[in-house]
Amino acid sequence: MDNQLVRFTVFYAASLLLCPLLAGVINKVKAFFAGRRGVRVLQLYCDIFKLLKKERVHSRSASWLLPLAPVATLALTMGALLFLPLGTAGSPLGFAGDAVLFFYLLATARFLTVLAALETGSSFEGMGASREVQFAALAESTVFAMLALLAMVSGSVDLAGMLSIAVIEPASWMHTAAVVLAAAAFFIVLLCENCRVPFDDPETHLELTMIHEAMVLDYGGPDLAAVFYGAVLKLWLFAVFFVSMLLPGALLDSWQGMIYLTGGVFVTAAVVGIVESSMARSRFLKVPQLLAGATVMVLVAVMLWIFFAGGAK
Amino acid sequence: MESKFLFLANGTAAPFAAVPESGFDQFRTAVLEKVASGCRVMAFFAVPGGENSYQLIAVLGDPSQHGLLAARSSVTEKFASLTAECPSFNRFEREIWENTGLLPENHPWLKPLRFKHADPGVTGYFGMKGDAVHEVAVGPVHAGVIEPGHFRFECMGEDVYSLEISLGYQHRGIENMLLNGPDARTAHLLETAAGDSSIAAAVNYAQIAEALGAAEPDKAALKMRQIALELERCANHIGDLGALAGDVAFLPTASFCGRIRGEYLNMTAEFCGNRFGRTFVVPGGIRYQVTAQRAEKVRQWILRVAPELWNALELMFDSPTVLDRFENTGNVDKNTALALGLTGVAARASGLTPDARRDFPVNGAAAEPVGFAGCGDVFARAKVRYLELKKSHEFLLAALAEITGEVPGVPRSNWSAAADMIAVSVTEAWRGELCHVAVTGSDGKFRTYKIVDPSFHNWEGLAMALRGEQISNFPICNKSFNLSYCGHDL
Amino acid sequence: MLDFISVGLIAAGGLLALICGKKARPATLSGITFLIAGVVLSGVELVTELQAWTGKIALNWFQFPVLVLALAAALYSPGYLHGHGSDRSNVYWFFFNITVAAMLMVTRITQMWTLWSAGIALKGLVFMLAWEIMGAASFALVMFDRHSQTARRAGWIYMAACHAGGALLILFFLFPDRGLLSFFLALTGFGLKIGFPLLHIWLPDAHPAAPAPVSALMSGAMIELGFLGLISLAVLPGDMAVFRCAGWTLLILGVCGALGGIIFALPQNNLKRLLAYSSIENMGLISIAFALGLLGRYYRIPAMEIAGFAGAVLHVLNHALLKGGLFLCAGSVLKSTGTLEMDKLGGMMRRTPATGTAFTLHAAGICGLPPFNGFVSEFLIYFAAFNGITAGSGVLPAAATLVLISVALTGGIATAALVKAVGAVFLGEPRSAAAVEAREVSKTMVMVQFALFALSLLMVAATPWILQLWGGDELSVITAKVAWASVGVTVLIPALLFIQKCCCRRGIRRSITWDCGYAAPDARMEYTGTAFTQPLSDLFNPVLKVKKELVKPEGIFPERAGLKESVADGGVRNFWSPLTGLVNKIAAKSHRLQSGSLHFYILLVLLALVAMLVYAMVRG
Repeated sequence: MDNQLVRFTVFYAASLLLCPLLAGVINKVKAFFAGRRGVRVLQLYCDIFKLLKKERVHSRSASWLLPLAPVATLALTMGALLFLPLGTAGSPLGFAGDAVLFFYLLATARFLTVLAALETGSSFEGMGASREVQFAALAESTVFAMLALLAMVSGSVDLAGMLSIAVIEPASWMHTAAVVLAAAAFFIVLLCENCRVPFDDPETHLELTMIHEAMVLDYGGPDLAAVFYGAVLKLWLFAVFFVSMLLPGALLDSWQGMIYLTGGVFVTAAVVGIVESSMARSRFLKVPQLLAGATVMVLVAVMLWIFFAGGAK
Repeated sequence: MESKFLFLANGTAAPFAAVPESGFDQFRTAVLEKVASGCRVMAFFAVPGGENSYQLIAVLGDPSQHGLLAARSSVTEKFASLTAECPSFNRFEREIWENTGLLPENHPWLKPLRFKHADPGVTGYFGMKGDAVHEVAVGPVHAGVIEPGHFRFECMGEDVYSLEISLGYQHRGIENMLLNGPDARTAHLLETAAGDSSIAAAVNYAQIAEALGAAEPDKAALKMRQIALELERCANHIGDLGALAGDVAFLPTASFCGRIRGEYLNMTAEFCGNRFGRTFVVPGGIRYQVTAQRAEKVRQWILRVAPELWNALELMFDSPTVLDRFENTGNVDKNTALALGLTGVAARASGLTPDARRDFPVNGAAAEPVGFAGCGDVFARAKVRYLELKKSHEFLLAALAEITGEVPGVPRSNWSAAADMIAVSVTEAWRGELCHVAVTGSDGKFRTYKIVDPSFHNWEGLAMALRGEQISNFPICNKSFNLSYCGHDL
Repeated sequence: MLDFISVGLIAAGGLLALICGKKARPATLSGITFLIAGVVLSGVELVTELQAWTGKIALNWFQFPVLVLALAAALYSPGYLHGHGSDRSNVYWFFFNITVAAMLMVTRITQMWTLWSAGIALKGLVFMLAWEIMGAASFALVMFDRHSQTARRAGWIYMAACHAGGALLILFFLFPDRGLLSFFLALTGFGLKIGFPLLHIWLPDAHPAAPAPVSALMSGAMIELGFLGLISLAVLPGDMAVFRCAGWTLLILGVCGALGGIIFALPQNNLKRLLAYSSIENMGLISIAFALGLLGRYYRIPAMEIAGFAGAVLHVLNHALLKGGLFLCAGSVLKSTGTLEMDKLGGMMRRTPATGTAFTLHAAGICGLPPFNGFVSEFLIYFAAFNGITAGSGVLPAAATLVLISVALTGGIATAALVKAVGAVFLGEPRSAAAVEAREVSKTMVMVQFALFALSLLMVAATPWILQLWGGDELSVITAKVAWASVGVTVLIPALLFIQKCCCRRGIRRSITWDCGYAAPDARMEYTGTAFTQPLSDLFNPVLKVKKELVKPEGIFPERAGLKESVADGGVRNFWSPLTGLVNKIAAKSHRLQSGSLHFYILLVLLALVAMLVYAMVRG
């Protein structure tokens, strides 16, 4: 138990320290595909430190929500990180049904970000906020469909149980198929929630096409630093979730397991970079179809599981 | 009927007095009839005519006669607007009103054009009633390093109901500075009016100068001018296609095209030391000599780079996600394009086929335009650029091979213009038809030098393309037109 | 026993208020003091009773929303009525007190149902008496703004729904032992009060029409009494077959109600109408929770059963506090600006900061966001569904999966709708003169709004204790962990704010919102509420069928353009309007029988005589 607590603390601290590297990895991969050298991998650290030294400027239209939101969002994301399981024993704070708390903490963070965006009274922020809530509403249904499938396959209702199932189960092809479909749907949600192509272009300079970037147009200095850091931490969160789904729980129960997990997270970031390089960003009108398609994919897996594997374990 | 207009071939001059003058009503009727029968509006401007009166001069392009028609009329204070019957006169009349104070009566959209007498952008805008409707105001300062312009959308959520564009932030007063030329600054002012169309502007100026008295160039120099023009066309089209890819986040093509555009700019620099071709084309020929080896070097360069270019572009055109963004976005139908007098790439993508190289050939050097009967969406405009690139490459490879000897360069000379003449020159710049009209006074100096950038016609097209469109598609619509802010603002 | 005394006291207070005539102060005083006395008495009795009912989820808990909201609405009312009808305070307090008294009576009778050894006819009669008085008195309150056409129409529709429900309930009490038939009679009868899909059409009209404290009371306490009646009178006394039928029916109705309600909340422009549709959504969630509990009992999955029932009752309590607070804040907005149209408001957070903050906090709660109490009850619903997936068999896992997806989607859309409400009303810049000149409302009103929120925070801490009382020990442990996690994360926020303050030495500078350097920005460049939810509304347009009166800009030089949107209620448009149309058509046709011609009537009499003769001959 103590060992597990120590490992969890070390992984938590490592997550907080290493997450800005994810942005660097994605940028390097994209630069490679574009035939460029790209910015250095540690660039986001430099950006954050530079921003911390700057002045805070707030819009005159804003009240208490605008100054609160970046830090509160970061706090909520850090809180959600506390519930991510590490191996079969799970997070020390885990309990039955903590998956719901995990995703709803992120929902609260989004609620605050969107309200802060509307505080400025600018149409760009309004546009970004409106798109964000639309995509989030649809992504939530995909996420919970996936959680239902994981509950069915693993037979447990807490994150530790749900994520410690292995992808390859020699005895049951249905098991593998279900987990692969769930992981694919979750990857689509990962791209959506973290504002990646095909849902959003994180490098665009066009205000009218922005989602996340538009919501933070009126932030600068330490507020913007908190926003950037919160965004990469959220990506780290989703990537850890994704990798935990694919790797067997027993593998992650040791110190080497943490190395595998971290490595998997960076591989996921590289895959995100590859996906971003190979497709264009889709029309806003088509995004609901993408997310609904992901939900349907999971529902198909659920139906197959019920019919072929005879219900829950 | 014909006597109402003076016929001018492209790149020629005639005595100003030979331009037939008529009463305004007859002038108006004649001009409208000609436009209705297929002529294009090249220029419509006012020249001071002494004693509080102005001479309104209309220059129309007549494809059937392969030349230009000019007419004039004298007005004081006000005149009946032509815009209600022919929307292509919209911006010309607003320009006349702003420059001279002459009031176009019953003009449906009389607003400042370049804001000479007011804060740029501060004017009444078209508003849509309803509590749910809101406006989105973009610019003049944009989030990227691009030119300033103000775009006012009437929207409800993501649906755009109307777009109004307000420019004038880069008004430098170039036409005023050209008065009483030609002098040492004239060529430079014209080339930098719209910096990415330097060569086209220089070709126009050279043709006007040669019509008004400068030395005639020889055939080889004329060929070199065309080569330079096509290189400029290639570089800009490649840049546009890369930027379109970048706007839909298709990064490979965006990056490749960015690099390859640099190659074409360097080819231009190979000829004249300047990547945008400044000072290459001068009245009398070309400034710097071109040897056969240099021509062959550039030809081999093109043969090396072109396959990479086709790869990059085909990557984009083969990608379903990209095509999904481009198709059926920003439609401008044929009738609207015709009514607005769109020109160049935008017009050819909407099913029209205006092309100065075919319609107003200079010295018989004509090219078949790349017509593309598209529905005027972003894909059509991208495809037209692609097809034009192919055509340009064919021309370039053939023309560069024909240079066997040395093409001499001529020094920049101080030439003097004939007095009381009018000269017209139209070139197919990469955006569309660029028209220069020069009117000299009794002292042989410019009484007026009119520049009509192709963007002057095409900005309305962008505004119409956004009607009923989604606001998130505005950037690619804007990029598919890629109009010049500074060329419009002068 | 005390309950009856308090009922009497409250009613007496109402009568006294009525007698006071046109003078506002005596009427208000008599109404409030007797009400407070009654509430305190009932509260005391309730608390003592609770100790006796450990180990099971007693339906006594339904009295809490009634008492708390009655108190809150009563304290809020004088400030609200000031300038808004305070000359008719006597009438207001009369009907208000009668409504509260009737509601208390209903809860007491339901609690006593099994203990009372009278016949079902007598019990039913007393229940119906209280039920109908509750409906009639609240009808008068809905029509309080009697000069308004919309209020009158809303009142009449409400009255029709009450009476229809009442008639069905009388039938139910006449035939209580017919198994499924009885259940469906009770379902439709109580459903008209709860607001099940198709039976909900009075809700979106009545809540905006009624004065804000009345809306709060109705939305937070009255419609939940429908659940009290349905579950305790029709379902729980029944057998396993009824449980199964009730479970599945409530599940389907709940999912449709939750999704339909929140989808229709999206395009609404009137703040209280949006909140009314949100109430329909929450009733759907409560319905789902009860359904999961019933199915858990039927399929013998204890974890699912207790999580479902606990989640349902907790959601009733949480919803009462949060929705009550939202409606009271909406009333404050109306008092400050005179309008509830969200596309005309804006920037109120800087003008009425207290109301704005209270509304934002309540809105976060009703979206089910941690760390507030709304999350705990939604968590229990999810938990019940998850247990249905893992422990269920047959069609239950599939149904539970669909429930999960629906509740998640509902939560996401609810966030969009509530963010629209907060954003359009309170954030940004004002969109009309009314919003610019808004002033904060009286201190009492503000304190009541915050008091309700304080109570809801207390609920977060109290939930583990309540669950223990109900016998759900493991659930109690889990919700305690949720409460601790919420507290912990909330504590992290000030910590990080402190760190940020230390990092940033240079202070905060105020400047204008980025306007792209344009010389003359104005308030029209702000996103409107309707525009904010436009993408989602367009996505769900097949359900919403938003009517757009659009005048498009025509031609290259357009002269005019305009857009006006309106949404008709789905139930009205698809079912009730066609039905009433059909009835009208039949009635119009049969109108021909009333031709007015004496000859025709004599002919009819002759035909009837002939028919009777034939019948007599055939029989005899």
